[in-house]
Amino acid sequence: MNVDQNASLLLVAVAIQIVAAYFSFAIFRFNRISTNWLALTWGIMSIALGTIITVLAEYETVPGYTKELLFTGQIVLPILASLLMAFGLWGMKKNFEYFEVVEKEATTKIRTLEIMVNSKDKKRKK
Amino acid sequence: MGITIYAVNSSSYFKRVIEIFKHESIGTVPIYITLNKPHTEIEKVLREHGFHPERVFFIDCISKHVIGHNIVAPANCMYVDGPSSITAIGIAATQAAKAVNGKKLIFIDSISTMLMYNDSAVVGSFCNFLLARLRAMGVDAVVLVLESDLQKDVVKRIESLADEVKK
Repeated sequence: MNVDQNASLLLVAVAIQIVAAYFSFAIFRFNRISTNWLALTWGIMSIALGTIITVLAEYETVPGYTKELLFTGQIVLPILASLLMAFGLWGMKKNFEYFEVVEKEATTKIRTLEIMVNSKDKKRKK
Repeated sequence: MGITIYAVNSSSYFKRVIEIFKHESIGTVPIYITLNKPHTEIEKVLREHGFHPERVFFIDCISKHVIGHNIVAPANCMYVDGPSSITAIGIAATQAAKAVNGKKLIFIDSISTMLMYNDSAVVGSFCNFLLARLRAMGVDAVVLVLESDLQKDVVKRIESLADEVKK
């Protein structure tokens, strides 16, 4: 594959990444469970930005800065994206763990309360 | 009874809420979701009105938010992080309703407070989901809203889900 074909494919990847970031933001807007989730959206956007910068570097659009651009696009932004995505997913994991705690607590407590109320009623009747 | 929405005037709000609660909870296991006042305050007023609050299960969505995470819930109460933890409120309400036997009532106090902490679209979808779920489970529900909020689009949509709107 020549450089033009590579660039075209990378731009397709950028388009898909932007759509993915939009879906991630739409999920946040739909339930607003956790603002941590937004880190995932920013993570995907960072990947897209990294890809764009890499394409620009390969075309030597900023002469004299090609190495720096490649370093940013291929190293810095992917690391940042990984951190953001890990943070966003960790936040969601914490939320789901909390939901499980709430579910168990609600069930246990109301059953206990029901038993207590019933035994009090029985005592009163006696 | 099904799902009833009560539009309450803000000037005598709490007094009216207690009246509605006492009237609607007769013969049921009431589950009181409070977003306005800590459960201790509601228990105190219920006791003053000759009601046994220890028979009521409270889902308190405000105490933890105002006091902090270090409070311990009594046997008839559970704390949710805050009024914006809408998913947790929904889970707690449906689980509590599912776990209890006999006739039960979910008492939501109130949609107006929920709207102060959450986006109206989120409150709309939450109510749609919760009320449909409760209806499917055969659970009665009372939803409170301030009279002044009746003109809001989201409240009109919630009204359409109810069997009755009372003032």
